[in-house]
Amino acid sequence: MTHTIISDCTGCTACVMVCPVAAITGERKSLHVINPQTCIDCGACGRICPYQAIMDGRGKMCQMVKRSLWQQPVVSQPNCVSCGVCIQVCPTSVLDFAERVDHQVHLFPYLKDEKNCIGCSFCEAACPTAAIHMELPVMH
Amino acid sequence: MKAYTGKVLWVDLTRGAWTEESIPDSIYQKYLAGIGLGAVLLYRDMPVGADPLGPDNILGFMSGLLTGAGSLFTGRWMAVGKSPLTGTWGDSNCGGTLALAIKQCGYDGILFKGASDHPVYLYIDSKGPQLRDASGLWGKDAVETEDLLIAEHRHKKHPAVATIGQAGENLSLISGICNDRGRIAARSGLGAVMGSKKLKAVVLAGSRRVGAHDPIKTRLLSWKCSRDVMLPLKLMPSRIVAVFGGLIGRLPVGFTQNGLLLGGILAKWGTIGTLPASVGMGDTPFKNWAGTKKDMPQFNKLVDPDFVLKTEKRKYHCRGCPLGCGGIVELGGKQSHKMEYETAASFTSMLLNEDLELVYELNEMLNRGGMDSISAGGTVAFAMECYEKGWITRQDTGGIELTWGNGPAIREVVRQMIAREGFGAWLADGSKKAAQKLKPVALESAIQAGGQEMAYHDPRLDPGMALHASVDPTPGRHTTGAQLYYDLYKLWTRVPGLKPAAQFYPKESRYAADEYRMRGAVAVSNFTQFYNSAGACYMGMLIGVDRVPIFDWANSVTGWKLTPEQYMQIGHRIQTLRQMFNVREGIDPRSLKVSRRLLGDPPQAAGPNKGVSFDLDVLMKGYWQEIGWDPNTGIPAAETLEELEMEDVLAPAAGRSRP
Repeated sequence: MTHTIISDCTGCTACVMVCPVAAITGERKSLHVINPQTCIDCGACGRICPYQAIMDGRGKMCQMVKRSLWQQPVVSQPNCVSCGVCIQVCPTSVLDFAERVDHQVHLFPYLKDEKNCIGCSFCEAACPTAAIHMELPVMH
Repeated sequence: MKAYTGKVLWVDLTRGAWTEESIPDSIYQKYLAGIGLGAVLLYRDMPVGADPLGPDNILGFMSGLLTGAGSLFTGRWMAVGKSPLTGTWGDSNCGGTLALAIKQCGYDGILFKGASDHPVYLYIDSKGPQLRDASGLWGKDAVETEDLLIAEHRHKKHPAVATIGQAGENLSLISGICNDRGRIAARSGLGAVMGSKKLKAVVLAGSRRVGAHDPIKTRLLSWKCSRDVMLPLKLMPSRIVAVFGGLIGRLPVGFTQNGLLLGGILAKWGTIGTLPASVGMGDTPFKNWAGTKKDMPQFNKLVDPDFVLKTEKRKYHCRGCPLGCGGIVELGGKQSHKMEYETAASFTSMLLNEDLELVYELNEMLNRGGMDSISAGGTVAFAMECYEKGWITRQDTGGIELTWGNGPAIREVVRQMIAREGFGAWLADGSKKAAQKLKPVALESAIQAGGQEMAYHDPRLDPGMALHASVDPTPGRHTTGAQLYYDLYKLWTRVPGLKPAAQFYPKESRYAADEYRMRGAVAVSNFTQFYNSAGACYMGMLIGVDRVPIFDWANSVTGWKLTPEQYMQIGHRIQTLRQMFNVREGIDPRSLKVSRRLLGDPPQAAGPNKGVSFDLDVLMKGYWQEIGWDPNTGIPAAETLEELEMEDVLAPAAGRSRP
């Protein structure tokens, strides 16, 4: 079972904006629908919905979390083997190998696009060496 | 979703055009990807008797089956083609970022045919492949070229670059293909093939995803593996390794070593960490394979892995490797890749050179020039022996005093070899070619197999090295097999029918062609072809298949349900296909034997291998018998071909007319 939208939906389109796979459709100010074929269960819609109108795959209502408090991946370099799996699984393509600095040739992944990270933690789950953990973003 | 992309890219350099070819699943199930797929495509498309440096030769960059799918130790790519150095099937293996980059472009391999009339490079991004002019890059070294290309193409994604240096451009037959600023697919002389096609570089900036049939299972296997292969040796100094090696050298019995210890050494020092042990047990050759450690009594002090470790600035991993045997070192303000065991052995013990800092310099010179450090060191050693014996004089060398251990002379000769000028031009094609130009008797001093210099592991200690270097379709290689590898791979834990290695055994039993040794040798060959096709690293495999679940990964990323035995049969099929390539080229497998000196003829007068000599022909016959090839000629038997069901690849090629 994927995420679903219940009748509390006001059609604000916040979820449409955040969905990385464009699985949510609906007219403004009317009930939206999540396409279960496309939904990847990242949970971003549940975290952004201000009306708590989204139910996750296990039938639990999602809680809204302030966007600035969404967790983001941090790579622990000693454990990382640079296999690139995290970059591949990221639904929003916000991870990438770091640019080469000086003569460094071993490139570690890093969060290139902090703004667009949806905190799905797919990268954390995918990492074969547990080198990624999700943390609250550091305020700059 | 499977881990392979199901297609390869063909680039015709003569016409400047490219096409994609879909590869059916049945080919993957029988030959996997990597070297296996490369062998299938080259056997099918290369005309018989193609000039290795002509437009008919095909050069392939192949990525492994498991690369990018979440498994560990599987970030290797392979260059395949007909070797100009040996005239046989040629392949070369390299790590770094390119293997994943090939797959991210949407291909399992990129193959080049024809030849361009001006320097070009291939650039692939999400819009597709394009050939671009490389006139401005021709003549530049591999690191400069890579930096320039990355600066030009660094848009959204960091591109991976494979390039040749000046040695490849000058068609030196011992040149290789570089990536990651000096990681080099050096063997088989495939850099010259790239140079002959006027292909300076391949720049890959694709960003497609590589899938896996069962990513969760793949990840769980990787998770467990990453914890099983770690042996922290932080406090152990390299002196202990030296003592351990000396002990093995002196004991009258041999014993089976543990891959976990090797993994620990690789993670701490890299391959150079094995040097003190190798010297102690008689694995490392001295003075062009004729000397012993007595020629360099201070060796362990002068060539100390701990010194190299002190100069290491950071570790270097290939994609998806928890060990990270590579490193970036800094000496005298210059950064370079950490030297490997082979480079250290070829420019210290082989030449009796006592200056380790010179090896840093030579390593960087060869990486930039794109030349094989094993062959370069062996060829300089050959030249030094010729000089010592008076076959060449100071006039021939252009005033270079080519005496043993003369550092400045070594530096100058290597520089000339890369630039193919002066005295170095004579040596730029390896020791066999140089000896042929000199006099027939000089061939005895050129230590090689089929024209390729032997890597620095002494067959008098491990006759499996000589056996595999002689019977493998790419002669002179140390990665194709050895008796030590059988002990370390621990194949008997996964493959039924193989006998476990005894914990202790008499040293003489190594030289026997009995059923246990021969079955083990064939198993090592087959396993090597399997993991090369999977894109795995042989250093990682040496930790042992009981800890590295390579067979399970292969199933979890493809969705197949093959047993380890069936994967070994795939390896057998690939090994046989590579041999069939040589047979079709008219190469006599008996002609690829290693030089007599490596077989203890004459035997050594001192050292751990004192008095050892053995009959390689018996071992070769035993191997051919066991693998199902004719024991007298080494040609695969008809019933073996039938049993391996290879007619789909062999039959159409046999009836194909030349274009």
